[in-house]
Amino acid sequence: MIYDVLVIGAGFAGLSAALHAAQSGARTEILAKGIGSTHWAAGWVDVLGYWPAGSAEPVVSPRDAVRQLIVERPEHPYGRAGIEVLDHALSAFCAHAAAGGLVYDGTLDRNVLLVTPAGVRRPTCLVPRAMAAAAGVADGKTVVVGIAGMRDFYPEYVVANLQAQGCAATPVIADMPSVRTRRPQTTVILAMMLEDRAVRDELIRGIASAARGADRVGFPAVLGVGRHREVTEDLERGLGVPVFEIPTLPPSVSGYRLFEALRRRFVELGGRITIGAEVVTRWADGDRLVGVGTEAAARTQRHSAGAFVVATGGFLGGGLVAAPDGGVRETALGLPVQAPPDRSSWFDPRVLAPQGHAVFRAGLAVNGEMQPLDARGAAVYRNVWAAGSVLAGANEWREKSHEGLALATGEQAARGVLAGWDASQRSETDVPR
Amino acid sequence: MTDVEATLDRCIKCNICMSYCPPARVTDLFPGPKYAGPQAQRFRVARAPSPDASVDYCNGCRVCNLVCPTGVRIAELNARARAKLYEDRGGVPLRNRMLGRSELMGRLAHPVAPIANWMLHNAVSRAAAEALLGVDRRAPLPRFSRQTFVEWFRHRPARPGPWRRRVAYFHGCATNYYEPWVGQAAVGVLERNGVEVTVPLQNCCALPMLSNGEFGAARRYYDSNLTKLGSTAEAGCEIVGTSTSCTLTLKEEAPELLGVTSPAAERVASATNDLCEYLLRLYDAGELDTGFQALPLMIVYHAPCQLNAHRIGHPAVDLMRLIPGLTVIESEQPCCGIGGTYGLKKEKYAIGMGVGQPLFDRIKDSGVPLSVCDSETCRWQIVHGTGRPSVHPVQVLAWAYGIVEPPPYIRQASV
Repeated sequence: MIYDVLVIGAGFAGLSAALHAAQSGARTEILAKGIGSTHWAAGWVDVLGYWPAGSAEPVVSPRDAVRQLIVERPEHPYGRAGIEVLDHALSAFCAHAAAGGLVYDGTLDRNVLLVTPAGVRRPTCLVPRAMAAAAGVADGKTVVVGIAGMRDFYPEYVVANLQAQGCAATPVIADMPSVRTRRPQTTVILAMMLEDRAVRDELIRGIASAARGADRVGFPAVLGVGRHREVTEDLERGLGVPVFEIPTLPPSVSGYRLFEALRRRFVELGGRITIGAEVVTRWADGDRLVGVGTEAAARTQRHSAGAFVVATGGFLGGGLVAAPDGGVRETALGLPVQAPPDRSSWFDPRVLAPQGHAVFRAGLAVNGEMQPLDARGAAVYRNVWAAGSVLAGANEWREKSHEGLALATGEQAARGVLAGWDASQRSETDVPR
Repeated sequence: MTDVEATLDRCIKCNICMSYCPPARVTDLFPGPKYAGPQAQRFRVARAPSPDASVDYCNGCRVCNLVCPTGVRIAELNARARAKLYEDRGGVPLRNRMLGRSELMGRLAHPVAPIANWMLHNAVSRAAAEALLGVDRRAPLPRFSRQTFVEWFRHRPARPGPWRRRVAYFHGCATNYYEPWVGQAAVGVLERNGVEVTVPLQNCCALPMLSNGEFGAARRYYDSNLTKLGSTAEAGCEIVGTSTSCTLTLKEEAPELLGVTSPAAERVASATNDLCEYLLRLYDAGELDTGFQALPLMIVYHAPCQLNAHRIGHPAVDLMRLIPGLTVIESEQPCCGIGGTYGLKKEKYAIGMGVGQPLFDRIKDSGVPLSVCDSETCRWQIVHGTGRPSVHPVQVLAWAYGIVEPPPYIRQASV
């Protein structure tokens, strides 16, 4: 089985690279150890929320701030990908998500403040349609809904923090008989239940009087999975006010939906995605990677391809691991990692240091094409590219840059792959389709 | 081999498994993989009673293992916990013992197949089986074949070859006692590709016992297979099987769950292949005969959980896509709900059907005349849920090679 492009990792970066490659006509496969960090994400797309990292004021125009970042920090992944690719990757993302039934709004010119499950207003760039109304919480009256029996979402807490930020908000708990009976263990199951009109009607009845006179109503992000749009529109009709979703603790339904939409889109474009395939070994011929092996029952499953994209994530995603001896390793291909020289320099003495900790900027050093480099600055393999949180130089959680960085570097990596490839050069061995 | 218990420390409580668990989507009797697996595991102590009975509602589909981003072996933790649960209760229920003994049932019933089939498929005895044993009266049960696969194989004329390769065919209980035509198609397809087929002595792979919590008996069956297949494997002969759950058991399930690490276990595991995995390897080596006749037909292919658990991709899809005119739609649904024998049980039948409903809808909505699936119990469940036939991929290959005449419903659909 020989593919043109093999992408390792199914998070934002891997999906971005794979969608770009598949759309360009390359035979593309995604291999992933498990399902990606999309399910831990809010479902919105951060580009740059705070710059310099740790500054108190959110970025107003991500375009201007990213330009400034690139000048100051050319080795930052945004510096490698460049702002044009970022801009294009965001439009491509919106198009792919829309094809999968999810509408996103926003531009690189303006951040929007949305509401977190802690009631914090925080900046992000591309906004799911169902979260858009959260941007208005500073004006008028907001009602925040909780559902009795749903874990880990507390409208009183959200409201208290919104009030502390000067927003008029009140909490309400919907007590729904069907939820009491079914006792959904997760947000995903609750979201599936709400695809049933009768269950939605219970919800509407339970909060209608509390919602009267409100300018908007915020719900935990459980408004449907496959029929999300229908559920949202139905609630707006039933309550007569705009509604919005607030992301929840994992499993994040808004992230789940997005993953499923992008996965479907990738399969439509002819791509193949295999989940449960952990890359554990590799075969190289000089400076060319010829194949990777994934862990399988009683054997190592070999996968060959013309080009490889490493999008395995950072410490959280499992693409990087830090060892007690102070070493930081890249887990899929054993690529050289740029990291603080020893363990004592991993952390700032202040836990909440505004600049973050040095170890979180560890990762793969790459050239402008996103090819991982060795200590001398030469590409380790001529047919390997990297994208997303596995890259060195960013502090995504401080910067609030996770999704934008993944999408931009994913696309830039795919562009690097495609620069040395055209449809006439398809792998010599025919691949069954 | 992975130390199953040690993997629980990899759990980061991200809940991705909880988002995809098929039984948890339809019932709160199963709290979900994270709770039943790594979290409950912390309270499971040797010689202490099982802390939680809900693990019996895990259907063993292993979707949790596949989606887990950190590599926790949740399904194996659950299978072991189930065995411990029955041990605490003083033994495995009679119903589970019977469902676990597909081979014994086959041996007893096939000589009197017409009577056995009548017994299994009439309303009175099904009502009695439900009341006495707890096997749901609606659950899909197969029909015994009068002639077993092994009888057919022994009585056919010798084939002269020439042969390029040789394999040992592991037919499993379902092919031998219920669906010998699957084995006949497999033999035909292998021989068409210059592969000599031998059928070594073998017995039940032990999976039904493993998934019914009967580890002691499973160990005896598995050891017996190691004895019977060990020399074959040692001689470098590959073992191929059409039952994707049997091949998974020989590769991994039995040694891992039973903690067997002997050289014989390793040899048998590494020699064992799913049939489509083996055929695709022939294709990659340029040895597969691709002279398929056109099959102008659209089918839905459902990758069974037990195939996904091999972690080898979907080789049947790659093979079927070589057939001109055949359009293969992947079901993209995780599970049919049967879980081997799970969905046969009275208290779990409705859960199994609920789990399978999105798959049944997908097949019916696609308007295809049949579905294709590598696992026999899944096929029976899919036929039950869709009212349409379901076949093994090797049967489709055999039609396209012209080895076996396609059934009338195919010929009509392809006009």
